[in-house]
Amino acid sequence: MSLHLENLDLYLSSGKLPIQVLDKISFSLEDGQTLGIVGESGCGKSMTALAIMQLITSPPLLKMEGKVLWNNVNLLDLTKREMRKIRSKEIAMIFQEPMTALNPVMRVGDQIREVLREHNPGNRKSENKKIIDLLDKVGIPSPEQRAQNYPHQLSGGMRQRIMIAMALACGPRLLIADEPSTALDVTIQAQILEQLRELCREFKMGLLFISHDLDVVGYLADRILVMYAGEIVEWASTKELFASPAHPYTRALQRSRPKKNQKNKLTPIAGNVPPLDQLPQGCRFYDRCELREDQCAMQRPPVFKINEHHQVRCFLFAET
Amino acid sequence: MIGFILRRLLLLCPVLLGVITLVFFLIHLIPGDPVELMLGDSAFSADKDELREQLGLNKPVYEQYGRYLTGLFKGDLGISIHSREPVLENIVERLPATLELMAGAMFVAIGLAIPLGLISAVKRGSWIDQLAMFFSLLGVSIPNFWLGPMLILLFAIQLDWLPVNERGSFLHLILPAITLGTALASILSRITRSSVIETLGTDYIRTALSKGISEFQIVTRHAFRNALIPVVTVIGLQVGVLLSGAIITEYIFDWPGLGLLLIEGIQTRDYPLVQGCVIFIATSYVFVNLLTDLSYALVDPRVRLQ
Repeated sequence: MSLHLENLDLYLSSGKLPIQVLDKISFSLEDGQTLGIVGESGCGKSMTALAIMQLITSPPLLKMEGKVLWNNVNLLDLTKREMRKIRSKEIAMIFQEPMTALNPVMRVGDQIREVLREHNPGNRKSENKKIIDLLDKVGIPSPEQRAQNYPHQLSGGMRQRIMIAMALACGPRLLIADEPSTALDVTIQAQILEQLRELCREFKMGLLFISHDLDVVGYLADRILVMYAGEIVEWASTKELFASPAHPYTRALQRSRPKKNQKNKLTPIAGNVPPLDQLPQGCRFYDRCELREDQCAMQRPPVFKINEHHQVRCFLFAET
Repeated sequence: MIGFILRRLLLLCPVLLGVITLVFFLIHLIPGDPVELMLGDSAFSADKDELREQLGLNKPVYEQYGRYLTGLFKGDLGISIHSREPVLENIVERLPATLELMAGAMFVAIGLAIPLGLISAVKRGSWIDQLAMFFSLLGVSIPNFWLGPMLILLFAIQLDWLPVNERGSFLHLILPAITLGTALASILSRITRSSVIETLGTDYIRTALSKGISEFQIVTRHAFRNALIPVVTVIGLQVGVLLSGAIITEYIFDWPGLGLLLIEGIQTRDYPLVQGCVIFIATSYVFVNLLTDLSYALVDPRVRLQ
């Protein structure tokens, strides 16, 4: 079971003009591996995830080009009904905001039951047992009572655990986690991350983990993609990315995070991600780059290979 | 829950006292003398004085007010000047007709509005949506005192499909119910539409989509119940409007309900009857509001009645 994205372009219609939100996104994720996607807000991380699941509702999707191959089947070619069979059963997803991601007027147990009933129907009793087992597995105490609760009766961490239980219900082969711990406080965040890692190992499930936090991604992922303004700017194994970050953006991201015994100020990256409808002609990071050259303003850098496990979209590596 | 109901019932008392006082004095401000109306211009003034004394109308207004209030505490709404029967009896006798009319109108309104609003929301921007919203604009713009006579002209007189005037079989109910229910249907369909559209954009709908369940289930199971919360509020608030609309509708269709009774009372300056009807309508309005608040707890588990 593997996921390959090949030159995925995504256009949304916003106002009158189409906006290209993703530009030639390509990567692959083999069975049981963990791939992290990192970048600032508005870089296209979540859009990549939603595009794989085909869950883009607003702003309205204009078109998707390229391929999203899941076990060599292009998901973009599937009918709605066929795609529904993939969702949750083979690829499941958890979202950033556990506060709003659950239906407020439905008991959490019933929200999990819905997934079971859609993909693995059984009788009510066997479903109940499965629900309790799942809640137990994601570390929810007294699962029998919790299953009867409504979302507003649970804390943020609990709700995210419910989301994870729901995602695991049908034993998917790939879990997409879109900033699952961002909305939680740090101790809960650590618990959730640890839990995700354990569960992926136990179920031998692939994980596509999205975060703006380089450390969190580094903790979980085998390999990391760095995205900027709708494109992939660097791609490397986690070890290599931390040891020798290549793209000026990745380096800036590294510098901007707090370190142990930090005495001096944090170094933020000056400026903002350019709006997707006003992208520069050359390198998209040009305005904020400390190492920019004349060439960067004129020409968009292609992807250069540093070694087997490391690629970067920057002219600095043109010679290698 | 019980504490909540008791507290709300207790709050009812000042509201009702206000209504009673207002109604009592407003009615006495209306020009016209019930005794003159009953006996006519040619009656002897001695007879008029006697009748006034009998009815207690010769006493000062504040004394009449005091007597009326003490009567109310005993459940006595007074005696109708015109029919000489207890007002409460008159009301109870006419109530079923009004309830029937309101139920019919509500059935028309909810039966039309909710499916229409739901379809409009799901097929937003389609011709079905535009057509539905055009009719809802039309429905809300047409006053029922115009719609009623037009329906009678078309369906009762020209086509002779449906009976009018007075209460009787189910067929008699159709035109009055449509007359009364149209405006409410229009309002409700718009509220349902916008509420469903809002709900369909929420995160939990995206979660539901990610589970792989069908769009039909998403709309019926997830969107609809959440979208219902504002719809229930509007239904509750509109019951009062329906009651006042019933007065006009009953008059148009000669429907023997509370509204017609009230109009008869006003025409004959039947003070106790008018007071009784208005107080009854105001009380039921307050009770419906209480029921609306209670129904929130049924629709939305986050609402705790305190």
